[in-house]
Amino acid sequence: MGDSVICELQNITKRFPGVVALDQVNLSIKKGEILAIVGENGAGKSTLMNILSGVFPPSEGRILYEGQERRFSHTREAQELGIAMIHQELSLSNALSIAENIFQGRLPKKATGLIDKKKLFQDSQKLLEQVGLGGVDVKTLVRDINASQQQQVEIAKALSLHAKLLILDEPTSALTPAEANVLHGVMGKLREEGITMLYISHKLDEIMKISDRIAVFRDGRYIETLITKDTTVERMISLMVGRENSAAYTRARYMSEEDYNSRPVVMEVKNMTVHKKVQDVSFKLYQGEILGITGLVGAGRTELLQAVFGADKREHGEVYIEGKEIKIKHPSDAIKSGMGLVPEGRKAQGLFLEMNVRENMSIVNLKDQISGFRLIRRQEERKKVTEFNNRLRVKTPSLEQKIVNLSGGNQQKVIIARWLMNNPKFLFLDEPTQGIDIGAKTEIYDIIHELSENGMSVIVVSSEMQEIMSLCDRVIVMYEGKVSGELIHSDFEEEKLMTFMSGK
Amino acid sequence: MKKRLLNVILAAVLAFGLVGCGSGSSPAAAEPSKDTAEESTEEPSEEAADVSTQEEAADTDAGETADAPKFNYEPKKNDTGNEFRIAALTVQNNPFWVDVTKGIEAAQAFLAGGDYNTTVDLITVDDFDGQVFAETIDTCIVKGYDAITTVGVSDAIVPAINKATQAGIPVYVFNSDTEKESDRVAFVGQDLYAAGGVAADTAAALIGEKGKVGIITGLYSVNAHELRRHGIEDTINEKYPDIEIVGTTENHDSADEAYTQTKDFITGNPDLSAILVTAGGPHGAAKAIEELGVQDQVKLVCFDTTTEIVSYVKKGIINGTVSQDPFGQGADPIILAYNQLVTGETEVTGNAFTKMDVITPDNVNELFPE
Amino acid sequence: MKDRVGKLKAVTGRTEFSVFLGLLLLTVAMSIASPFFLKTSNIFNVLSQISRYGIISVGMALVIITGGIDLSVGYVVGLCACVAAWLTSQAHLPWPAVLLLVLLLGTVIGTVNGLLVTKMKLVPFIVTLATGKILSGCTLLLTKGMPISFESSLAWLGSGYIGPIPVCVIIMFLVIIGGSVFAQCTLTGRNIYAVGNNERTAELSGIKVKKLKCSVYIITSLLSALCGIIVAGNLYSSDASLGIGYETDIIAAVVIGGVSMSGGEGTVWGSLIGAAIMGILKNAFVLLNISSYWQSVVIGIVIIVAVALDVLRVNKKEK
Repeated sequence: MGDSVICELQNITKRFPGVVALDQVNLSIKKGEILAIVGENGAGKSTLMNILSGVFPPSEGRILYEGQERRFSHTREAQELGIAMIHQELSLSNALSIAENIFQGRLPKKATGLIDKKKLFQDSQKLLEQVGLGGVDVKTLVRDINASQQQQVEIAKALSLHAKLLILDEPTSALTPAEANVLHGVMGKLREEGITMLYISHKLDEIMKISDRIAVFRDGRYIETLITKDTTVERMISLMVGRENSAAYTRARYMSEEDYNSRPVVMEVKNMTVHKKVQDVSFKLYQGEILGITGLVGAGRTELLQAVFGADKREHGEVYIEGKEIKIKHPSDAIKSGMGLVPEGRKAQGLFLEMNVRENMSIVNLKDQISGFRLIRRQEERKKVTEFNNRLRVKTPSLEQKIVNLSGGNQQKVIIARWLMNNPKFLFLDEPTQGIDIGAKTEIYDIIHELSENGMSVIVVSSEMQEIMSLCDRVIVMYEGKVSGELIHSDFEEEKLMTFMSGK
Repeated sequence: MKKRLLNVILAAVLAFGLVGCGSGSSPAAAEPSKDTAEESTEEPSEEAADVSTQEEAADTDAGETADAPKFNYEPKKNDTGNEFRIAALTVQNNPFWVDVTKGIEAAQAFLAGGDYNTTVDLITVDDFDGQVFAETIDTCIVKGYDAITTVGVSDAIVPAINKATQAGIPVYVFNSDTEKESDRVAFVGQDLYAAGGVAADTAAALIGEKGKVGIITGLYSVNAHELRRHGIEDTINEKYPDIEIVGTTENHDSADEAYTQTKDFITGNPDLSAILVTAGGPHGAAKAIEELGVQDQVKLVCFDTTTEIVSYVKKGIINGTVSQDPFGQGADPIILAYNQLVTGETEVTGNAFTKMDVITPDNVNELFPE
Repeated sequence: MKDRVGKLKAVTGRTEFSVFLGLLLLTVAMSIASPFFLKTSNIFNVLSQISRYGIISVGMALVIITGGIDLSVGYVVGLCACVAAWLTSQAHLPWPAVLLLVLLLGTVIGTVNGLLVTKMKLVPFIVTLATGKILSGCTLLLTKGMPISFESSLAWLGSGYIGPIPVCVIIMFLVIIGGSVFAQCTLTGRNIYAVGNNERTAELSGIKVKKLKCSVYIITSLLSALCGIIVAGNLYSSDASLGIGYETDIIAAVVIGGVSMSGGEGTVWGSLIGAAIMGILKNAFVLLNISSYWQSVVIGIVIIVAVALDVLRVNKKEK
């Protein structure tokens, strides 16, 4: 690794409607180094990598690659220059062989137009050796090799495109520690061949092990680049979280230790296990509290919540409500026992995109708005929806407006209203402010706060540190399917939480 | 908005296409062929179909004074002062019906002449579908035809025939009669049961009245095929105790299926002596026998005289075929119906069997010269 | 005021409206093209013919709305027609028993389809195609290829009249009205649309998705069984070829009527408009003396256009 710079990002700014994702980012990438990119969720890492790999252009600023200014209108252009991104979701075809995957779309052909199998296998074999898979037969189908090997094949594919700058996005999130080691070995080899790598990860100890330098991002801004051998995890964390942020959301009051001693336990989960995702998790929920559950991607938070709600299969686990065990096999059981779930990914799991506001809101409680023959009482439906529409201040020109036309924040409010209409005792919210602007976020926080003040017990799953710390009375941190720590509000400290999240 | 516009354009084009087809005799309706909608392909083709029938009528008008073709019944001159409309329904799923259609078209052309003043509409249906035939007859009733002739494809058309008769529209059935009794005036076709017997006798004579035979029948649901089959089986069982029927298959009038089934018969019975095919597609059986080179051992007897069958008879692969005068089946019911409309009396009721000949390699060249 | 304009736009913007316009245009064109089109007897004929698949299209619409499809309907019609005839003429059962048993048969078939799709998670296209074939074989085994006569009081359903109106037409309208009310105005109907929209969201909202998907297949097979009796009653006879090809016409009617093949959208009564368009087109061919070969070509083109428009509509939304 010399000192020559392969790529330089100058004053990169990227704006999306309602949010500035990157603000005047300046970054230098040295040739042949492994540069780690770290930051909390929302810090702008993915956006920056998307710009670098050609997915979309920056709103302002320029990219200098190998000394020349570049504008990419398509990922293919970036690929041709040797910039390749290995995504979290691998892009391999399970039913095809390793060789066919590596050279997908570019299979070598003979003069007759038929595939030159000999050349295909030879070239693939060479690439596999380069990534440390020399012992594997190139004719093996991708579905017959394990996740870490698949990842290596992805890298081989990028190398076949003569990649000089590899961007790896959370490459070890689906790998076991042993498999992660293999990957790091490959990366070491590639570095020796002069290939530059950007390594995006939340796993701070890995970063300490593998990287040469660490670039820290926070709230869309580039903070500083640390030299790995001269720094510590603690320094990394403090740069990631250090905030001059003044207007953080606060509630009127948070539950104290005395409160916890006096309030009853309304729900208890024991030994919840979901295959491969959640291991033996137990926790209690107190009356009127806002309990946060946080952790990194893959920690198992969503799976835990959905298992409690009956939406996903559990291997074992019990749920007790006010001391009595409740059998929950299907969300309808959970709903009957007074639960409600605002799921993450509202477009995928929370909304009926073809339907309007009224239909989206009334769907759960509709069974209370019918007459004989299960005919819907339109008047009553409209009345109830209007009531909750107003209560949550949902901005929509009419109840019949198609839900896709509302802003993200208002869509989320509709989903929350849907559950409130059913008068739940427990409300679970999974990433409730994902993709929502600051103004709407505050509104939603107010709503959640008011609910807890009125006696509802709330669980909020979130990966945003700021949100957890300002909203929750208590937080449980998960790491790789297990509970790694618990704190009540008065003990909240960012570094402590980050440490729990990284599994320490 | 765009999709709505397309929908309306689609309907408009269809609508204009239909109007163009139905209105009058001028084939050159000024339909905009420069339509931008996707459906413009269907519009001119509808017109083309219409045009062809118009041209036919024009042609025969010119040839009006030519010799009347040989009909089995004499058409009476129309002195009622009325114009008549007759609907002729036929199937069109294999070459046999080509000859039937020729008969219908000959009657159509002849009756269009000034002395007869009658329009005959040829309506073809793809297949032996009883339901479609029934619906078509219903529509013919609506269209107020004066008489209807139809193939008796299945019992499903009996209610429709009865409805037509009740509405004062006489119905003649040809080629195959329905099993259930209907109110039809007469059946014009082969004495199918007797024909089966003739075929059995022909085959028996060829194999020395002993051996194994296989039967390939058209469809169990078609009465005509059933009558022939029963005719064959009963004759063999009663008159030829040394002949064994090794199996019966259904080939749905298809030459392809007959081909496969013949090969299967021969494979399963290496000492097979003959095959009888009751309905359409016997040239498939002939092809199989020719390919296997067993024409000396396996005799083939079938029905009808399509071009393919005749050529195999000349080659000696088909050893005998019973004809049923398809031309007559097409033309006669129409002439009979026409006569009934003109005179008010029915000339024939019940069964009007058409003539039956057995064509063999010995007489084929005489009956079907090159 | 704004709401009233909004409501007008909501009506005219719907697919069903433009399809209805198409139907009107077609009717006008046909009345010009043929003097027989508007005769009462022709109209009732056409309505009768439409009722054969119009009745089943109520069920098919619901199935497609939930994102599935049922290719076995034609074969159910054929089997039930032959079973009804057989029970009457061979087993000599009284008509109430025949009616009950045939409808029971339809329910059983629908349950099998539904369970295979929901519990075993098999693709509806393949499953229903396969069960259809099995049913077709059963029909042939039962009838041995021969037709079975159907002389029974039940035949009234297919060939009876109430006043000038054929009974089957009345049944069709009753089923369509009932089906529309069910789909638009009941809780289960709303849930069906929800499932078609997004199965996961529906499940998380407490809807028993599997049960619901199963029940629409049962409804469809039940209606197909009823149709089998009606068809046999209309012809006073049944044979194994009845019902073959129905699924094409039914799916075409449903898609032309505005139901989207991707699920979640469309109405039951729209299918009636679609069925009417198909029925009038078929009627047109015979009224106008156009060869039946063109019929297959034209109907095929109409189906392609309808499905293409549907795809365009979906793509436009996703942009």
